[in-house]
Amino acid sequence: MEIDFASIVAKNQSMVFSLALRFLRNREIAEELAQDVFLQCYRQIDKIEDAGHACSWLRRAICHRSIDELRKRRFRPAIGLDDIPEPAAVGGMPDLMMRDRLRGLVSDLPEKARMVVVLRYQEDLSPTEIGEMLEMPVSTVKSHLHRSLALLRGRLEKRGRARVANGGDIPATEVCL
Amino acid sequence: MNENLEDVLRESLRREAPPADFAAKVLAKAGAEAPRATLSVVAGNSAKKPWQRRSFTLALAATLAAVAIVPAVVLDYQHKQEEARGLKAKQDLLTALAITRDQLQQAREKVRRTTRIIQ
Amino acid sequence: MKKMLRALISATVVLFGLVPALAAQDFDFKTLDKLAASAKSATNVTLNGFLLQLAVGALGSDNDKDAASLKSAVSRLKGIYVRAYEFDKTGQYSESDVAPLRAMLKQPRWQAVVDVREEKEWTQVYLLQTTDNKLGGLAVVSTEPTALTVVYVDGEMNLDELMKLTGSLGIPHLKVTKTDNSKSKKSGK
Repeated sequence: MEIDFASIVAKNQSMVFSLALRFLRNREIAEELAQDVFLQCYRQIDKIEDAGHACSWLRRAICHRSIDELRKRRFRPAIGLDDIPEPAAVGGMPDLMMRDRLRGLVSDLPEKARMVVVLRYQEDLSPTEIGEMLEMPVSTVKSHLHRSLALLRGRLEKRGRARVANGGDIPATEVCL
Repeated sequence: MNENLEDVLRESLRREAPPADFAAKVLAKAGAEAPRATLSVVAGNSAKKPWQRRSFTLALAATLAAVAIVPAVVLDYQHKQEEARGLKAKQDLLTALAITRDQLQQAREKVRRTTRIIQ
Repeated sequence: MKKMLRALISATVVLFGLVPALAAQDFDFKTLDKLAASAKSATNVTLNGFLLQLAVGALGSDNDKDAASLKSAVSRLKGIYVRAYEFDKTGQYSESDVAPLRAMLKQPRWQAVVDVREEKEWTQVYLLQTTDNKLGGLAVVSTEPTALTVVYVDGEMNLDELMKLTGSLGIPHLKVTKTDNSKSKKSGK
């Protein structure tokens, strides 16, 4: 069966790029890493059986590469899941900045929890599939999901002043014409 | 409420397309590497004319893509700059609107607590 | 003679050209901007002209309900300016820093619709009425011992739409000061 590499790239580029982007929250690095992963796939194309296999291969590769990249670049350490506040109901309608804010909060999660959340909600993978991909017991995946949701919910509910110091959630901005 | 947060998470984490020239760059880099004969497993591949072989096609596609890349990269950079400016401006606008709304709400609550309103 | 006439016409054009610009620049934030240096936290937003258009355009597609509501609320804005400061302790800003602003809001075209003092907090909301009786602007000045917030909206904004926007817009609500009703004072104005 003929493997069309160009077609593999076309079909999977959004998935690969997005996974890296949601995890690393840096477009340039995400793009660079996504390219590397495709090249890695190209070099091992003889091991790729079909389009479906290519997709799962790429997904696994970008996940592991993203985690490695994070460790290598020593990004800002994430908060610990042990500091989860009491869960509270999420009220209010989702809106534009809510999505931006959520993406930011997801990128603050510890790396494994972050990857679990991204795989679950971007890729719609089941906990079993996530466990296989990240080589993690299913119970651990479920625990990451549960605690991450609780943490995200708690953080969204957290009240405070809109004006925060530099380096906080919302940096002081000065935009003048 | 969990369902609501999960829905919002799905929306927030929806896949985002890479830059327009992403595929071209990948193909260009792949084409620059040694051709992979195993790209195609169709029998009799070696009997094909050079331009019929997948490796040749890939190299040609990569060369053409590389030629197209340069202006595309420049345009993409400019587009990214503009996009970044727009996103920052949007963030600032939402911040300002939220503060305005909250200030008006607080003023309303304060008025309720007191009895004097100047008209 | 022709030269003088040309010069006079140019001067008139410049003067009238300046008037709308002056209106937008009426709010002089210079006395406030210096407070950022001593503030614990500062939010400073100045959006007008092209940057404001860029911001409104970036709100999203009209197919998105949230984006469409927001766009509808702000489509006629000319500018939006916010200065919000929070300080570690009292006395890090004074009434004299805000006085130029308050003096400007005493101009006849500005109408105070809210003027409330509670203990050491003072909140004023002003509306700007244009010559054709439309809402041309909004100003909020809110002072507390360790916080100062000024909002100036130039142009028409649909306040109903703004107040209807639910959720936090992704930003936590400002702390609402709670005052014991029995201790609140009426405005002394």
